[in-house]
Amino acid sequence: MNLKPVKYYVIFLVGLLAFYTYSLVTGMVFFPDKADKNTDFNSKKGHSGHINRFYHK
Amino acid sequence: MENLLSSSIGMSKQVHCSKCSAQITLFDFPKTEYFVCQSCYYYFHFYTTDEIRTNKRLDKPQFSPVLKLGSLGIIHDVEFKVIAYLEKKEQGNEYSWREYILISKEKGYATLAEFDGHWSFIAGENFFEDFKTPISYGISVGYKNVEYKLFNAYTPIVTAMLGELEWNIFEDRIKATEFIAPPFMIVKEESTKPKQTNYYLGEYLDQSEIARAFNIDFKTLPEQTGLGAIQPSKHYERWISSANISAIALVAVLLIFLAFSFFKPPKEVINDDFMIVYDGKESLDSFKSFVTPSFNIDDASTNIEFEIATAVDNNWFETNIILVNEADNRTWEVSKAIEYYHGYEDGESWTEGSTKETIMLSNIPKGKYHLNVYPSSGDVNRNNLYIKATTNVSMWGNTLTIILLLCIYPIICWYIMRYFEKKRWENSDYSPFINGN
Repeated sequence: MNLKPVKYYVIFLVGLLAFYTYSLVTGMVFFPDKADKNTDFNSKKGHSGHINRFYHK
Repeated sequence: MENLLSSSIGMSKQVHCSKCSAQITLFDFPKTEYFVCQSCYYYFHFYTTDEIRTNKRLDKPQFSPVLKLGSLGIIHDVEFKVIAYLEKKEQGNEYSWREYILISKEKGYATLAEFDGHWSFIAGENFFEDFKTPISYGISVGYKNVEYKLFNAYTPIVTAMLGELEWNIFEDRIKATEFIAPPFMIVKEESTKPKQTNYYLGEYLDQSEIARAFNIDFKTLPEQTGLGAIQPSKHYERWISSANISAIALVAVLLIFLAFSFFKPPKEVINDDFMIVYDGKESLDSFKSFVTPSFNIDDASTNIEFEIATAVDNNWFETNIILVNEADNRTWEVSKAIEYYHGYEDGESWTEGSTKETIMLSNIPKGKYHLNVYPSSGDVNRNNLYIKATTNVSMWGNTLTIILLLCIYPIICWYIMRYFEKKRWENSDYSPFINGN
């Protein structure tokens, strides 16, 4: 197989496979459901806590 | 008719034209039987070694030969000498092409044909020793497991000549048929006198190869226009390479997917039917919120899928689900509706929606979690909600996306390659692209 005509495509494919493997390792979904994240709740001192619901049981 | 000069191929001999007294050099003496004076274009015949007869006067060539008569060239490691230049046209058509007759001491005759700046080296089994009569399939021929498609069938006519030949080319009555499999071509020549069929193999030569073979300046060669009948397609090569490498990548994707499914299988963290109670405080449709039992996510980062189901009947159900990390209160809030309607209309049953839905969240870090669930429904009598939460879910969506991406470039290459081939076959009456499609 002559890879010379597609050398840049081969580089792209290697990157694509690496990205795919990374997505499987980290559980990264390409098309997740839309979620409102509040992932730094404790770190923001001025956070109003507008999601005024029970975070702990 | 004296002055014999030795050379690497045959012998050179100089004669004087009996019509214009110009000096004529013959490069393949004593095999030469017919030759043309380059000054007055009379065509002569060596009737015997000592007797030259005048045949007829030919038309002046339209073009000057770019390969000089008597010049030496090396093609496929074989030394050739140019002994004749022919201008030919197709009977019934106006376009013409040029041919250079070459001779080699070891391999005999070969032809270099030039049309619109595209060059083909054509020779028989004297040059291509393993070349055998191809298998005929009617509109194609097969040779070495390659199909050569019919490209052109015509009767060539010599309109002008310079140089010398061993035979009287003006007596040739040939019907030529060309079958192509770029960069190669098989030429079938059927002659009536004597009645015989010969096959030749042609190969496309790049202009740079011609210039290198005959040690001439590249710029002196005719400018290339259009596409050559057997001009190799870089697009074809690119398509084949991209399709092969994409197929390999596709297999790699599937193997990676299977490996992860095996070593990192899905894990259920919630699988329960929760009782829900109508509340109606916040709104007319609201139910009491509830909290699921805690569960752990052990992987450093994973996805999580929630499957929710409730048996709504011609009604709707909606819930907010908040995934809460119990260590640091990080949250992921999603909303999902379940709707299921059915009926009977105009003699036909119909259904719409479903009694279950799924929610997928991405990149959830390791930790202890629970869900806060806020149901609401148009059916105030709903009393249960099934929730299944699974981590490490097989990501078919990701895999299909990657597979689709793998297909894009080969498809583009195929389209460009096909466009190139269509352009090539526009010069043929036997195009496989019927109606240009």
